[in-house]
Amino acid sequence: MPLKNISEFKQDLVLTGLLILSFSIILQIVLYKESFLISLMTVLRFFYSIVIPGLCISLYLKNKLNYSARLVLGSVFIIASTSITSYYLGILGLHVKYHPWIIPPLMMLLGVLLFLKKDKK
Amino acid sequence: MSSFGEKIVKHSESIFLILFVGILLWMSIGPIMQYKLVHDMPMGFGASDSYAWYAYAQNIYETGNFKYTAPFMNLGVEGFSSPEPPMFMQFTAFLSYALGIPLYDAQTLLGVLSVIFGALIFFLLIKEYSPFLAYLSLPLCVFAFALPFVNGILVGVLPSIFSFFFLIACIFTLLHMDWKYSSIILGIFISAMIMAHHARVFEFAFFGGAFIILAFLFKTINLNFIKKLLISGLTAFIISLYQLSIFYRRLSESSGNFSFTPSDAAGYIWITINDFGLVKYVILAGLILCVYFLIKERKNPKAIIFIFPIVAFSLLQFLRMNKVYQISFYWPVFLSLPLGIILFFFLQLRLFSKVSNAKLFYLALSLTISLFLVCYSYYSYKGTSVEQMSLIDLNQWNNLVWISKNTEPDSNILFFYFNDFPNDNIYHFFQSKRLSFYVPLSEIDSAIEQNITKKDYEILDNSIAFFYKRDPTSPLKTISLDKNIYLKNMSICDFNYIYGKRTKTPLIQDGKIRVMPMSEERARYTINLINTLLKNNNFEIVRKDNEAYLIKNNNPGGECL
Repeated sequence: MPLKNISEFKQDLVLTGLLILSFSIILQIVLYKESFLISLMTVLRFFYSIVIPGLCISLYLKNKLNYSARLVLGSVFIIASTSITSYYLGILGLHVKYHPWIIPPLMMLLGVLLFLKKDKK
Repeated sequence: MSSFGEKIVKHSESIFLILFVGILLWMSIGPIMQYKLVHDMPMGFGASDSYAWYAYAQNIYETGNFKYTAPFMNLGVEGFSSPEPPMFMQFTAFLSYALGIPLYDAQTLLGVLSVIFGALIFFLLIKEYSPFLAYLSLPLCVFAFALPFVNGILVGVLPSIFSFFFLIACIFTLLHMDWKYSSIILGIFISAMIMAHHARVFEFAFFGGAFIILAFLFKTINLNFIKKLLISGLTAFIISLYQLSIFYRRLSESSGNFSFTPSDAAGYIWITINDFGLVKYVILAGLILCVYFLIKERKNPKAIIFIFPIVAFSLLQFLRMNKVYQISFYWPVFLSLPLGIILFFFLQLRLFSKVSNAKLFYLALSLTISLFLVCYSYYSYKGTSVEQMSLIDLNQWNNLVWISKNTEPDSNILFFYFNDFPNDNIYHFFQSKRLSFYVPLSEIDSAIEQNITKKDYEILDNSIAFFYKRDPTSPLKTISLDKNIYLKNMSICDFNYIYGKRTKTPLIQDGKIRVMPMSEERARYTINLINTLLKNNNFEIVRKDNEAYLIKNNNPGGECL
């Protein structure tokens, strides 16, 4: 992987880390009757299943969209594609309880591959 | 400026968006979920439909898929498929497992997140034209979580709300068809939109149609665009085909439900422009300004965005077709642009030309307006509170859960008297996970009036309207069965269990706590009936709490009265 890509990934990672921290604090303020651990775990799991796959899948648009636009659009795309994938995986016989273990990593992998493919060209 | 200060300015938009999402979360999941994430019962389930979607999602959660409906939803018969759009329920089940929170909490959270993501995509859409305009537009979105607009979430129009943010994503993608894979992205968004709520196709035809006409007039359309659009349509069709094959059955059989005749749909949740209060004058002026900008900037392809609030406003204000009322819950998002354009227009007149850092100025102004509108919306509707929106209380919920865990799976239950809501609100009985029936309140009232205790009441089933099956050899082929062949006349002696409410309890309607007329008489009558039944040795009490009795009939079908 070229050095430029690694530094871009690093930048995304730092921003995502800061975002997780910000939303953990915001969610704890909004849901002040809830324990901080539950708020933190919810934010972490939300980022794992929707936001990070969204950022990965939109990596190939890095030159066209800034971080926040990629985050929003990527997340919405992940919600759409996960709903569809989950629906059909369920119909094919794979229980929905396994989907959070399968779909987000698949989307992340797909996003990184698309990005690297684009970069190769 | 110090490096820290420079970083703040560089990331000021992200900081602004985080703060804005924080405000929206504070307005939405704060009061709706009562400042907690995990609950003992559903929060914000203010109408029967919320429980119906929950029942579907619960079936997916337990069986793992949306292939068949739970038998108790189809009069105890297995193997039926539902024509309801599956995406919202499917993603609710996924989200519940992914976040590790109860299914009902995931459902409410998803409703809220749909609107927030919808607002954020629309923000990105406006940003295509001008970031400053986008900042100034965003504040109106706070109305999405103020009454009456938040009713969309509270009365369970959830699949529709879920599909609208895909509709906005479709519009956004239409503006970026030059991107790589855009046709596939649009195809996936369209199919998610269709499978989240089929009626969105109708609105999308208006939004997409207006976009294409303007793009044609602005001369930004080309053959490649048309080609990509066709690929998107084909992708969406292929992805949705399996679900559409069963929806087609519903569409071909429905009379009126999908008609394009004007209707005053949704009664009390009917929303008008007056619900924005004084802000409506700004919005109306902004809509006129949108038309002005469309004409003035016709050579700028990005000016197409000004058509979208006009379409959203016209669809509800002038067409008033069935199902189209649902766009009203997204009015604060679509009409945010007219609010922004008014402010943008005046600021462009260089009234504030001496401001040195324009970006920070616009962001600060936007946050100030947002906070002002939050206060204004709360002040306007101070009489009602979204915190009190729930169709059933904790006692009733616990009773339903108890039934689902402690009665035989193939047993049936008669909810003789459950609460005082009108009888079209019955889907919460699904939470008992048993084949359920109920007696209309009018029937009980009539018996009270006649002062008689009898066994033959008008008894109605609590099942869905669709009895569709897929052909096992060809899954795209569907057949419709007549519900009536599964129904038979029943008296109260025929049920395994009878549920009877024994106390008058106030209920929450439109955010206000009320004791309904006849509540006490109905409870007294129910206690008398149950005491009479208990004189028969076949009956025994299996559960009794402050709320209700649950009695079991050990000889269903035998004599009881």
